[in-house]
Amino acid sequence: MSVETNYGSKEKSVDAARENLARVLMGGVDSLTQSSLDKSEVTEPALHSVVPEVDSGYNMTDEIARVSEYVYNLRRNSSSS
Amino acid sequence: MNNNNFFSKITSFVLGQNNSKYSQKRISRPLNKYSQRELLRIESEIGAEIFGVLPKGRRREFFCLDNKTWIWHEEWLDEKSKLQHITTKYVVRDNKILKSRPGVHYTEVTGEELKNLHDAVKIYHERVVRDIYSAD
Repeated sequence: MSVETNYGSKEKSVDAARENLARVLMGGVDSLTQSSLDKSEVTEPALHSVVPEVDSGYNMTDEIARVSEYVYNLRRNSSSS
Repeated sequence: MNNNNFFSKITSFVLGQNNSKYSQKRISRPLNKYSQRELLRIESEIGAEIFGVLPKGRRREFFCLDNKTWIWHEEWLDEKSKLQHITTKYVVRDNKILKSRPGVHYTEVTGEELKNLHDAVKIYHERVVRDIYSAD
């Protein structure tokens, strides 16, 4: 029973983190700064459960650029057109 | 044409108004039988799911448009049942991520928003590779 309770709590936490991520990306939160976020919804364990930790020195912009290029080429090379 | 209309037209053009036919079974034929636009529609379904279950009456799209652009689009009905929508474009340029929204100049994405975008892009990447491009 306690396992089910814990699992449910974790799922809710992940859902909350995802929904908060959605709100932030949507731009519904002014300026998207730390202070404008409801920190209670972005729990560290929840975020870590869906996204791997990043190393120090890791460049997020470079990674977004790399993934953009990769996904686009994958789609282009996989398609009929 | 203002930015809002422009982005909406991009989204409608790329995704169409109804992509439910892809929902039941995303990949039903060899990948090389799909056009790029069809694959993009399927990717967008996955992109929309990254952020969890949508409240009733909301529609969301999140997808990689090309090798430098990500699109976020969301529609909902306001309290007067009028359709509202917002589209945000994220562009990779000169080692920065720039954000464009209707009526707003490009701004650089930093801090928490950059991390959230990065996280979403990573999940998108993992899921489209797993659910689409590994399926062939």
